[in-house]
Amino acid sequence: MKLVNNFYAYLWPGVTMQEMMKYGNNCNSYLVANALPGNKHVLVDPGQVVNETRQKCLDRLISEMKKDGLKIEDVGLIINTHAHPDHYGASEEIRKMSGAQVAIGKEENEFLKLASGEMSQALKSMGFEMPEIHPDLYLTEGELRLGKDLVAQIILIPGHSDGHIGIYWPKEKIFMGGDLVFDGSTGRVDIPGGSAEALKASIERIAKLDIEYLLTGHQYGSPGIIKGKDKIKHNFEIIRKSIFPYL
Amino acid sequence: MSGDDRELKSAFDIAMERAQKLGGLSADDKKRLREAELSEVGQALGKRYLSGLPIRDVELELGKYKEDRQILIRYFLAFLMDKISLTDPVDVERILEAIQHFSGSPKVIDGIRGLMNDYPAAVEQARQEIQSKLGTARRKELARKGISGSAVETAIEVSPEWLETSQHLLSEYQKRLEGIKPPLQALLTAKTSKTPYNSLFSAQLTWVGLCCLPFADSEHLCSALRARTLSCGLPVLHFDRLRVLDLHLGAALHTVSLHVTLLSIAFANETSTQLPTCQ
Repeated sequence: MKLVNNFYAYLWPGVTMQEMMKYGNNCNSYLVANALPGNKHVLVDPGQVVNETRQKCLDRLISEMKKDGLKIEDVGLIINTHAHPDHYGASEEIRKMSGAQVAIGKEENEFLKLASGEMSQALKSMGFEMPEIHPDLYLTEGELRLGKDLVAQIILIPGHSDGHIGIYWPKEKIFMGGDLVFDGSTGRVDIPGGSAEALKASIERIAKLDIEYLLTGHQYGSPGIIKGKDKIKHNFEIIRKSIFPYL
Repeated sequence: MSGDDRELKSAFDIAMERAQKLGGLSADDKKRLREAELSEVGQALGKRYLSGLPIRDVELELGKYKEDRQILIRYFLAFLMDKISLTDPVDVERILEAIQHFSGSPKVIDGIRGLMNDYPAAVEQARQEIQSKLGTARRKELARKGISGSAVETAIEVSPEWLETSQHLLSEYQKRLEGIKPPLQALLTAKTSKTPYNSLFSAQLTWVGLCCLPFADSEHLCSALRARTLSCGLPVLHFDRLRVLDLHLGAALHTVSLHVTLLSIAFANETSTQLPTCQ
């Protein structure tokens, strides 16, 4: 689904309870078309290949992209906001199809090392199977330049995970926040690497940005995209009032 | 009664037959069975310890096996030592704590602790070296693909250079770790054993200074003299370069009594104060 300019959104069904039950868990994916030389695309959070309800998440993404005239083979860069399998799971599979570079927050790579070692049992018990991922580059706080004239700011937003990154596109006023905030809610902080205090601080930091499109990581019974400054501001207020006291 | 009926046996009969068979086990078989049983208990205790069982509770558990306590400690420590891993060091401090506790000596764990500290330092140093070597080239390659900016840091983990170097480092340190384990195991066996006979020292001993331990002799005159056995000192094992081992009381008395006999001969000439030389 085209969002604005070259920005596309592929939302995983889950606005209603019936959808959530049927489709299970996967993240929303976002794509910036033709951002790189050779008309290559940037894909943010590819999601899983297959999820816990045996839904073919990657196949669905590929088919949705086709509807917009975009091919998975043309993905040149995959950016993962954080190292949870429901976000990065299909990275290596897409790399095989397209030869794309794979990026993740630097601190998340440390988490991945732990997750494949000492934390693997704990994560398994929480339902996390960790697929392989071999990043070509890490992203840290700073400027990310793509192609000739596209500029994004990489912002560290720990809380849901230690090395979680957000991608802010100042020109289009788009913020891709992974699992930092949702419509009326926030990401979990009870997963290894999570921190309530860090999450609050990250949310307060993002709330100061000039955002027109807040792109969240999941729908979870609510729209995945919050559009309009006022709605976004209101969403942050709701989170402060109704979620912060319990964090 | 048919032939088949004659073959039918009650559960009681079968149990009795098995009990008889058990009764017929040789002393060696019984010992082996007991060792196997203790090995399982030692491993189970090791797992519980790594899951958070405090060392005082391990002691309580060991207390239930009065006569076999020392053997059980040996299996417990052997299990823990097998769990020492360079790449997954989360349990290492707890393992070393247990080794130190039961060996009573902080020195025995120095080798492993040193290695566990050296390995990540060596990996980090190699990482930095390869990063500076490959970083510029990788950055240029990414820029050609349209990816640049201050947020970009190249990852070297997927490069063949890094894979080769990290594998080499791991196998080198793994070799060193495996080299430390057997002598440490042997040392712990000696320290946790209450029977000082040579059979306890059958483990491969490669540690410099410990190479003579398999031939330890509790009745060696030279060692006994130096330990002042006759002046209330403890009897020692021949070639025990470490310290006095815990001796079984019977063996200790036997050693002393024999030394008395040997020493009366050696010091028959009271004018000689020179001690017998060690071989």
